[in-house]
Amino acid sequence: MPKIVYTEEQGLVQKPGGGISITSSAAEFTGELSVVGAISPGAGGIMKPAPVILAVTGQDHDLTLAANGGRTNVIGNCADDNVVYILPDPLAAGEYYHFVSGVSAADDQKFHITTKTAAAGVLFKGSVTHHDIGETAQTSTAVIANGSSNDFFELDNHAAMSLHFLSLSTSVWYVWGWCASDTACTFADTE
Amino acid sequence: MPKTTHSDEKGLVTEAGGGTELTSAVTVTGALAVTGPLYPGAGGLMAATPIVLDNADETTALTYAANAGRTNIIPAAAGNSKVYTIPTPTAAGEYYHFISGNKVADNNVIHIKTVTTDGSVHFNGSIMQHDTDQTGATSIAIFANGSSNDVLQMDDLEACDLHFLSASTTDWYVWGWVSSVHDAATAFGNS
Repeated sequence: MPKIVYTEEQGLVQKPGGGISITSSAAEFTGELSVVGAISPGAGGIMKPAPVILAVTGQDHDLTLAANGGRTNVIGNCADDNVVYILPDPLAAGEYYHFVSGVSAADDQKFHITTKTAAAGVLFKGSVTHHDIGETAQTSTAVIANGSSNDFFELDNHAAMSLHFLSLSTSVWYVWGWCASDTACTFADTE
Repeated sequence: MPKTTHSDEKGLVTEAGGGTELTSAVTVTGALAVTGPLYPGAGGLMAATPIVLDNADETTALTYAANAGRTNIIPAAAGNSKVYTIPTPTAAGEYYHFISGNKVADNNVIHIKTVTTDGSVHFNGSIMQHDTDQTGATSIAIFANGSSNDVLQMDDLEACDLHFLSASTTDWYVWGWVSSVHDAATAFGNS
């Protein structure tokens, strides 16, 4: 039962025993790393990939797994009401996109997050909490995707948010998180 | 194009094909950098051990080695001069997470600041403030100005979930929420 041990002093050494031990100031994998078991970070914790500052012009923006997946995507003040961020159809369960606000004052435009495949081919399930910052009474409500056809999320005048999209399969995104604005966010069907 | 596999039974074997496959428990001592995406398996992605921060009524300098990539727990402060400084990022993707460890509402002021005090390293983005003793509007968005704000102040903290992610060596993006009975005192400002 050989054990592989790597140290910067000795290089790669095969010993009796099992498992793999790498002792290095910086181990680097170039390419994709898939782990069948759990990943447990040590003292250094887990950093994040660099966030992506998204374009805010009024048009369709196709996000990609390579550029936006697994990352925090920052949405700033939008240029107009027709800013659409399109999630690529998931290739597998576990694909993940995170969105936060990068505004320094409440926006006065709308943005949308939609699935790539319209007409319920790929849809949203789950719910988010919306905090109405223009309200003078109850301010927080749950906004729930219908789970059968909604493939479109809209937020008007966003002020703050943390929204998570995680694929359950190649046809379902689960959505959770919260957002704040003076107008309730909505899930809907692509028109 | 050799493929390298390792199993506890056979040890390290080079065979035809591409890629690297390790079928064994792998321990990495030191930093692990992956240039592509990281896919955890059935065991999921664990978190690093959280850290309960010092509550002495003084400035506590957080460090990349001890506090980054981790959940940092803010205890009830011992006075109104509790300050946590976040080290200047050396790259995009450095990340700090803060939650409250209070048993009851704190009654002091806490600041999270950049180490620099001239605004050269500053905060972007917005967080939510939930006012827990208000009977009218309970939630407001708090904005960083994205140019000079390098302090986040919280007063009478009850609960929080705050995230700081570097986009460069000068810009932190912040998202999350704070609950307290003293909403007016939750604010981004300048040192």
